[in-house]
Amino acid sequence: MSAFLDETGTLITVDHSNPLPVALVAGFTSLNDGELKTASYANPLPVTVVTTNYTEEELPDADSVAAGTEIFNTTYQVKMRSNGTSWEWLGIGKSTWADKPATAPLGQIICITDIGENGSLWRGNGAKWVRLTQIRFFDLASSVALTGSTAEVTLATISIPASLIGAKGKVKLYPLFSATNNANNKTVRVRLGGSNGYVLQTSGFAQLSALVIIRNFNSESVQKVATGMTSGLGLSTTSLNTLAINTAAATTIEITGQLANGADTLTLESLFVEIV
Amino acid sequence: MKTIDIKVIDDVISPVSDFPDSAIKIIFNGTEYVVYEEGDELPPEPIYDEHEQL
Repeated sequence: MSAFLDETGTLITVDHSNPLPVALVAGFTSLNDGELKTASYANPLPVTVVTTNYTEEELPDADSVAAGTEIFNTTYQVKMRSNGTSWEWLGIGKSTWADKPATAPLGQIICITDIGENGSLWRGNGAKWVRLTQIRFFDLASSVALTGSTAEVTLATISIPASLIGAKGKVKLYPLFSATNNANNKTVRVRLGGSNGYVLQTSGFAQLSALVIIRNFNSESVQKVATGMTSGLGLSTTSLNTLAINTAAATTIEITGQLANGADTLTLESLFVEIV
Repeated sequence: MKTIDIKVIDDVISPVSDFPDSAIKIIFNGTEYVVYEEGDELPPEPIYDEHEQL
């Protein structure tokens, strides 16, 4: 039993001793006498949702519609609501990297469908889109072996879209090589935009696992890369390689190999690349 | 098995087209890139360790 006063001050009492049966909503399940019951869709309640679709170009000015107006943006596949001055996204939009919104409103999140293993999430900071997590950007599909030549040969090419790295971004490359283990030199290079970043010339190894980091130094056009070290990490008397590749434009990273003796073999067994 | 021709830019040999995603092994043999795919007979693995085994 419960009681409350209605708007006229009359005391209303409710007897809960014989509750009404609870109807199942279509698609939901409940336990009835210990047996799982699932509601059917045979007689759903009529629901009508009317949302106007607009492309990004067709979108009316947010201050020309009433605050609270909701529309669906078909360009970025996201519902939006006007707050009277601007449109706020009510979910996660989606786009390719090339077609993402030029403006990145603070707090809005977008899934970039063609960057990362299965897309990646980016959040606007008011000026640009900032990735929310590190991205596995590239994974070599098969091993690539080099033999029969003493020329420098490309073993992998990775296309880097414009402005993907960012002014404070880093590219981490994890190559795994195998090689003929003898006294003949093998040279491994990692090039950014055609310029040498990491270079290692050595002999007497059967495998090489390295971490090469290309770091933008608070500029999309200034990079420094540790070079000459077997694993890419540690001490060296060799100076850093400083590059000036404009990563605000599309560029490439290349992994190359070179043999001192063409009878040997150098194989890029695996390579994956992260952007952080 | 497919082959990919080469181009030389700044003394670096590169393939003229991207490696196919279907490749399971690729070998540059001195003149071209040879692409092995599922079902192809793979070449023998090279002998990597020429040092005497202890």
